[in-house]
Amino acid sequence: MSALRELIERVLRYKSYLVLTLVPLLFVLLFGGAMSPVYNTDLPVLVYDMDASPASRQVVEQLEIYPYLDLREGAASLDEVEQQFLYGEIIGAIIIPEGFGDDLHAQRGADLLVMLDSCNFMNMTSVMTATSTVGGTLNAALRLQLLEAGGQTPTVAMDNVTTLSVIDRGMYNPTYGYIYFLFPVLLAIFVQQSWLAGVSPYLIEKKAELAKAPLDVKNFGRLAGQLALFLACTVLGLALWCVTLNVLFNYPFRGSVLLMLLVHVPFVLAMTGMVLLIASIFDDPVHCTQFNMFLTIPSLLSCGYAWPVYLMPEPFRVVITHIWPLYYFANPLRDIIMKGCGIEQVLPYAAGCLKFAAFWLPAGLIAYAWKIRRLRRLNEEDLCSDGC
Amino acid sequence: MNFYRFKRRHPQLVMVLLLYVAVPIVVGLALGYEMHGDAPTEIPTVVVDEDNSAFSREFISQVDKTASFAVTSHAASADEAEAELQNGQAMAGVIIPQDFSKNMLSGASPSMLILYDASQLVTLSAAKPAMTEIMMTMSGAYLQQIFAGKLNVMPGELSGNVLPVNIVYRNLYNPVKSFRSYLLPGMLLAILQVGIVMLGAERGFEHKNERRFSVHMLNLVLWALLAVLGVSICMSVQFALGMPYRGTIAGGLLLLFAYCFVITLMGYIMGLLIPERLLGVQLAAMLVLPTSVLAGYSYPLTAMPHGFQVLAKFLPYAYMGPDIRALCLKPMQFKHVLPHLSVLLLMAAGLVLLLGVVLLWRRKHAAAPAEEAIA
Repeated sequence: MSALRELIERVLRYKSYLVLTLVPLLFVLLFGGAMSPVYNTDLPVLVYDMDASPASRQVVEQLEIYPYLDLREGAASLDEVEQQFLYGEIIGAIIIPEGFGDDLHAQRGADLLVMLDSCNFMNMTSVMTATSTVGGTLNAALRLQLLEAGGQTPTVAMDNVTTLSVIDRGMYNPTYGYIYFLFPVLLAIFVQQSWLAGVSPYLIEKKAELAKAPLDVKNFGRLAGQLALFLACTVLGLALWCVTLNVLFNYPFRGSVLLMLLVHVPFVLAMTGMVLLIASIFDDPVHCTQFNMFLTIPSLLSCGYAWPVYLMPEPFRVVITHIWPLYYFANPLRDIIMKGCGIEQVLPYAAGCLKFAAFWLPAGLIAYAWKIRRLRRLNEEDLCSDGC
Repeated sequence: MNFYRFKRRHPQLVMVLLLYVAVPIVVGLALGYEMHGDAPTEIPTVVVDEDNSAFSREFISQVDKTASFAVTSHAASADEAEAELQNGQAMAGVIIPQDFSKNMLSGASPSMLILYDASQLVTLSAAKPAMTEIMMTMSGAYLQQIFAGKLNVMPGELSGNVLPVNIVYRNLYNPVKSFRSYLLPGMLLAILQVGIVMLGAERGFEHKNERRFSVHMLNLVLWALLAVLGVSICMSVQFALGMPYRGTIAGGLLLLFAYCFVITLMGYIMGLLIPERLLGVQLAAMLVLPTSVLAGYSYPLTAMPHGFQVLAKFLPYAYMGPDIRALCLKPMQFKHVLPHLSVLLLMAAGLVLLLGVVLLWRRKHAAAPAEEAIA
């Protein structure tokens, strides 16, 4: 017990620094490891072959060749298929109806029903891509046979089948990997949350101290010095997380590190304004922490990263860019890291963030100073009532 | 009444009201309002029409007519189009090369280039299927011409020749592909579980010296019920904003209670174990914060390495996060939630056992110095 207490005391002594540098590193390792396989594989999909003809078996064989599906067979009825969906055992079902082979031979066009559990978009898209790829290959082969049977040479038939071909290019994330998409916003969230978790308890403690100590410049100078040290820690922390991501998970960083700093520092300034404001509201670091922790996911979902700004209702967009600064950090971070954008794209965000900080930092300072004065007065009242 | 004085006098009540009433309502309203569009539409699209033929103009008009896309600009070259994607003015691009139509008619199989901004997952997930659909329609029309014109296929047989295997897609449970229904139920739960575990940790810390097991259990049940209330308020806001709930209500509430009990208990044990209140609360929060990612709510579990799949089996969120979404969207009956309910109840039993062990351990360590003092 005493060993645990000793360990905790040591941790507490350096807690803010650990929170600003090493704690998010654990999350980088955890999330990076979980999402490191870029492709969505082993998708549980049920095949219900009601036809059981050579043609339908050929379709099943084609599906089995496709690498990302975990094909299961054995359903006896459509009701059983539905039950498997409801139990969450499968995310897609391919139903080959009776008469599929006959329709194909008679050139009537044979239907293949693909049922998708569209509760999860990522799974739905993956199964859709798989089935349309297999379906496209099958159709191309069958069309080729028909055209050649109609007297076209193999080359002409091939040209006719492959005409109007499309080349898809997923810019900035060619493998459509979720890890590549998610990490810029996660890095932004790590900076935000570590700043909130590391700095706000310190400011609350300092507030109580300042309420009892005489007001002098030295005390505020110490506070500013400590905040500068925290800023250095968060810069170091971000660099550490990026290097870890790059080295361990081959995460590509396309843009300049200096540009990342250009948006990072104004964001931290803006966040300092928010932290001062929060620290002026809460007197108990535990309650402050509870409030701060709540901000993680709502700020992530409303910063214009997961749900693009152009899709937001206008009033919401205006409010969100004026009351919380993550918009000015998460979005340019994506542009720098994924797109390799230059200063002309990043500068408007940095300028916007500085404007944000220009309002909220003084506002936070005023609120913090006001709260210290109020605490002073309350302390004096308490002393007076004790004395009386 | 002076709120500040009230807050100083009743900090616990204020925090409970904040975390279980105010936050669920505010967050639910804000995120529900933000995503009330449900699915991405009018994706800004840049077009490069180097062909400038009747076909290319028809194709571009088809793209523009689709609800998913809005042709916002015409660029002169592919580089210019890429620049628009780079600076965020466009999120998709269509590049039709010179003589595309002529080459197509002569059977030279030219290629069209479609660009997607794959750094935007939401728009990408809507743009790709929509574009594929347009391409299939256009390609089908072209092949019909080939089969009818060159092979003299009768109109009745055309569809069978053009599309020998016709894949019919049926999107079950979320046919409008609502992003809000996909994301919000589990994410709101993920937000609230942080509050639940932290309040649990605080209660555990407060009751460190309580010896009666029944008092601990009563506390846990009470706080779990409050947590159920908080989550219910938050979800009710979503239902008021149009999100469906198709599953069993009794089963859903029971599952939610079991889940809230487990999460509160996790925090409670953490609060009992960690001697420092703030650290206990922070550690408890960190215990549940990453679970919405690690339990496969958005990034599928099947895609994760084996070790993470095993880890997810021990995360309570894995048995509630996807289920709360499923309860909203699927006609789930009680039997469908039973497997996960059983796992959560097992977890609860295991944690209650652990709580007993921790309390015994604490009692023993608290008794030793007292005995020494008597001696």
